[in-house]
Amino acid sequence: MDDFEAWSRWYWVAFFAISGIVLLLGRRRFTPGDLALVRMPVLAPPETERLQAAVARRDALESFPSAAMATGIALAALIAAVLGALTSAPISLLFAMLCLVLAGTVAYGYIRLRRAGTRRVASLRARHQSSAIAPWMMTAAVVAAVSPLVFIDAAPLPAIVVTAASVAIALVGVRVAQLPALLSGVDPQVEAYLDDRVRALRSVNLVGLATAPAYVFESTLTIGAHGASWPHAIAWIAVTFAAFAASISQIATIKRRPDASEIARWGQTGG
Amino acid sequence: MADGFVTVDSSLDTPAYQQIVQQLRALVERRELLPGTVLPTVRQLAGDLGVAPNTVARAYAELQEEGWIVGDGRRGTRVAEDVPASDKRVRGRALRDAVAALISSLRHRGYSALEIGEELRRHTTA
Repeated sequence: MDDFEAWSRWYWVAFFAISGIVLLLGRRRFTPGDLALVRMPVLAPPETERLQAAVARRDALESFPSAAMATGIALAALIAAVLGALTSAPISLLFAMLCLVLAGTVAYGYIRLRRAGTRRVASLRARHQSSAIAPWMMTAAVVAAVSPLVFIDAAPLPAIVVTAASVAIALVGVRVAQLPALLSGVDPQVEAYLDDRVRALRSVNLVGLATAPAYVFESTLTIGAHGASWPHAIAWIAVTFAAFAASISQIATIKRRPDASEIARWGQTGG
Repeated sequence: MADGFVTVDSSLDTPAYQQIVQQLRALVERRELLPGTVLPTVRQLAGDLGVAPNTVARAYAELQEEGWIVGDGRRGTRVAEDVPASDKRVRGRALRDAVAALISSLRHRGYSALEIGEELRRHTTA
């Protein structure tokens, strides 16, 4: 192993370790409800109170184990860092194992959401999957998810595992967009708004997350690699664009705010 | 205009499909659901209410038979443009169903027929 390869290996070990530590320290930072309120506009006090109350009710209905899930992924990242530092296991293989843990955790979270609460109240507004995830974002995620297969000559097993994990995460993102609404019925207008917002944020975040394993995996094989082939370089550039596009879509979804007509509707029932 | 909402209360004697029919009919009558409004798919509504798809399909079939909603192929199910709200017989039945559901719910909560009657009289004469 030459100096460059050694430095590259330590770079990825540090990446695993820092990711693990950041996740471990921030595991209680975001509940799903907090996520829904990120960058929300300053509303009049009654609307703010109703929204916060709806968030609290939803959190109680879901009892989503986000801290436990973050801890699981953080521990897997720290184990990958230790194995990377102490053994000669290929970094791409360690990363593939981490992706498996991530995909498994995401799938577990989906099952918990599917079984959350007792559903008995429904809005009569027809929902469409495209209102949660834009078709172009799905296309970008699919391109990114399958792009590790281009690297099957360089790292066969990790390429297959990362592809499977990315596709699984993207599929969970689509399934989350199709989840039934979860309304307690106490303040249905606000709860329906919150349900739409949480659904869009979760599905966009998951579809965006599906681009990350492919991007990092291909980076482990491209950054520091001598004489990367054209197909590898093209795949890496494509996945970089896909990950960037997914990030833009995530930011746009987070910044989407209720307009005046939406808030006017809140005043017509409930409260 | 507010979104319409429906609920299913499993503690009532009224079957779930009948509860959906009564509430949808009432929403259309009160014009909270306007003619042409696209309704959720059977799958979406069943999932949101936590009932079997057959329950919602049966409710939609009954409402369609009575002329409240129309199946519009790929465009989905919509509130009919010409709803039978002016039909006295249908309106009478809708009222009877709604009152029966209310009384059943109140009896279930332990109120006597006398208490319910007095309260209804107080409201209708106010």
